[in-house]
Amino acid sequence: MADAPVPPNDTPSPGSSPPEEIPWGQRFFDRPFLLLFLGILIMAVFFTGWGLWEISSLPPAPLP
Amino acid sequence: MNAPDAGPGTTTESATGRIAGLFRTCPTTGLAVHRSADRLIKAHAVAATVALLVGGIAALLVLLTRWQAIHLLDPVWFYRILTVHGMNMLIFFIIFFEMAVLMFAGPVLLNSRVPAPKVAWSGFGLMVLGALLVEWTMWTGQADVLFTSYVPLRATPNFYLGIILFAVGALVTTGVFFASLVVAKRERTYEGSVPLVTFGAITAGIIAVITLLHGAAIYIPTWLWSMDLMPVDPQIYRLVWWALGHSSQQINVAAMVSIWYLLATLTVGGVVVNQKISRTAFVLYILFISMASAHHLLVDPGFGAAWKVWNTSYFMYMAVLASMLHGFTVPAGVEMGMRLRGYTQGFFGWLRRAPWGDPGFSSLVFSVVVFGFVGGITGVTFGTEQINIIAHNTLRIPGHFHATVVSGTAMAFMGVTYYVIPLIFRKQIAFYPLAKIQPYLFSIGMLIFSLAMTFAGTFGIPRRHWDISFSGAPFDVQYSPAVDIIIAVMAIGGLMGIVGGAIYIVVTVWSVFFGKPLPAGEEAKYAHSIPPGIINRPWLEIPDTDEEPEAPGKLGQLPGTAILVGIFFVAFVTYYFANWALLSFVWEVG
Ligand code: HEM
Ligand SMILES: [Cu+2]
Repeated sequence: MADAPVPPNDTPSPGSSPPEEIPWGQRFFDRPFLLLFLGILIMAVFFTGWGLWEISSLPPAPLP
Repeated sequence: MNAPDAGPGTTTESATGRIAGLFRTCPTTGLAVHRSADRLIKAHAVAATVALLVGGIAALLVLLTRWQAIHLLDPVWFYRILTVHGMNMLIFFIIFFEMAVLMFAGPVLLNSRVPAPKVAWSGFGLMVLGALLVEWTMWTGQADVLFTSYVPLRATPNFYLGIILFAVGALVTTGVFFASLVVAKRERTYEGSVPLVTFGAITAGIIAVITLLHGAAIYIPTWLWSMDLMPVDPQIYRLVWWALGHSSQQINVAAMVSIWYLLATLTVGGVVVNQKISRTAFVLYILFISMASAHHLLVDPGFGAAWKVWNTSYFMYMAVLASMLHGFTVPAGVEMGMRLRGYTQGFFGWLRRAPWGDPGFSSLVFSVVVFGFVGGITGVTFGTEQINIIAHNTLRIPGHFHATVVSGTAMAFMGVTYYVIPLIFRKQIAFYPLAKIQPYLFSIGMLIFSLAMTFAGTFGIPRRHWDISFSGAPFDVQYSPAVDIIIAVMAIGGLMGIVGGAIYIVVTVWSVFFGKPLPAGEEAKYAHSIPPGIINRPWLEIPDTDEEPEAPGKLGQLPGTAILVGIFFVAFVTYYFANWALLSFVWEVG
């Protein structure tokens, strides 16, 4: 979309002045494979890993 | 700027500079469209529509069965067709369409080529093959297991194999999308950061990888289990399966939000109020939305409270925050875009003067509003551990997700199709007057349907249930007599939605296969058969940046959006606490 004029956009528009220093946030967002890695990591640790650990540490039911 | 969503960095010189025979220049947007991308988008869109048709027919049959006054199918066919409905809608329609979105947001918006067209086509082939295999097993009664296919319910091995093939195909196409990012960067087809719509598609792509990895992790063992080659634990199945089942919904959300931004640009020249906020919201999705899969397991005995609460509250609320950010920035971008173009009267002048007859615009509004107000509010409420117990497995759940995935995602996908047909297929839209009313019929129908379904659920009516009158059962279950009326309202809303869906299919299929071509450069002559955005091209007109739009009150520069957001929060808080009250009635102590 067209860049918004207001409120003052703190993300510099790289199209207009390339030599400008790119903020770290933007550099981070510009790395899709890093984001992919982090997305998989968080899911694997908190949901899947922890969840599997919970299931495996259940005591077996005392079946009649 | 010439390109839709020319966020930071999209340049148009690169588009015009290197048009060889492999590319065509889009006469409307000036983008260089690689012919492979063109064809891939078309193929995926057609496959998605076929799945929508099959799923829609199944919707009608299921609806007329749940409407007890008609009770159309016998129990075996009810569950069979419900399986068909879930698979075709949620998996085939949505994912085929998403692959088309990836091929658009990658190669097309970045002015790049499709890196390995043959690989992309093999991905498509695998998806089609897998889908056909699944169709075959479902329709022949070898897979009456619903789309969740919970172990130990068992389908024939080919059902699982079909799903695996479909998922591998989708993973291949997602890989081609990621490769297109690399190629575009290396070949410098864009400068700076990718446009916001592409960024949203990257989000969808990343979540797709998370989803499909879990899918492989569960479906390959389950396939082996179906051949008695290994055991599968039902609790582990549910855990890993929902990492697939829920995360896949978040692919939808990311793709839908990207389309919101795209439609806002195409229809009214909406602006991105703040790139940083919108992109941060997408990153929050990437990091935190998949873990919300745990809300499907809130009543499962295998997990402790800490795991449940961590994964469905605290951290997951970062993802809810992200949705609310988008729910704010999209209308804000529309309001800002309209105000900058002089529609400054009062709080809502911009909304009143908006192009309501443009099916792309009306779809956008319905998608944002119903997704947020109905889908979002019910979702956060039912995902609260304590409240979940009174909503679990009742009709409130399908009530919730028909508001998200149907009125939200499917509606957005339909809306963007009205732009894809003229822009990608270069066709006029057949039966355009019908197309204009389609979003109204579909959304209002589905809104009535979801609200009634949710309401019926509060009376304890179960989901996935063939006969809530329990005739012939050894026990008797009494529901409030109001339920019959509510279910009838639900059925009427559903029928309206089905008519809307049918119009969509007729319009798109007719336009694509029998429609009249749209000659380049002569768009203005066809105002009666294409959306106005394509003729007016509001995204070309750069609003005067020096002049601040007039703000009518104390509510800031975007008072209309501020009021809408205020209403949203009131509705949210009311519904949330009403449910705590409902819970307290269930919980009679002493
Ligand atoms: C066109 C209008 C539609 C109507 C009238 C409709 C109707 C229904 C009905 C009556 C049910 C059964 C609820 C139950 O018994 O538990 C159902 C389930 C479902 N629908 Fe739809 N639906 C429509 C469109 C869609 C779309 C577009 C999607 C997805 C994109 C979708 C996804 C689902 C899913 C996932 C289920 C759950 C299946 C299950 O429990 O196994 N529906 N729908
Ligand atoms: Cu979910």
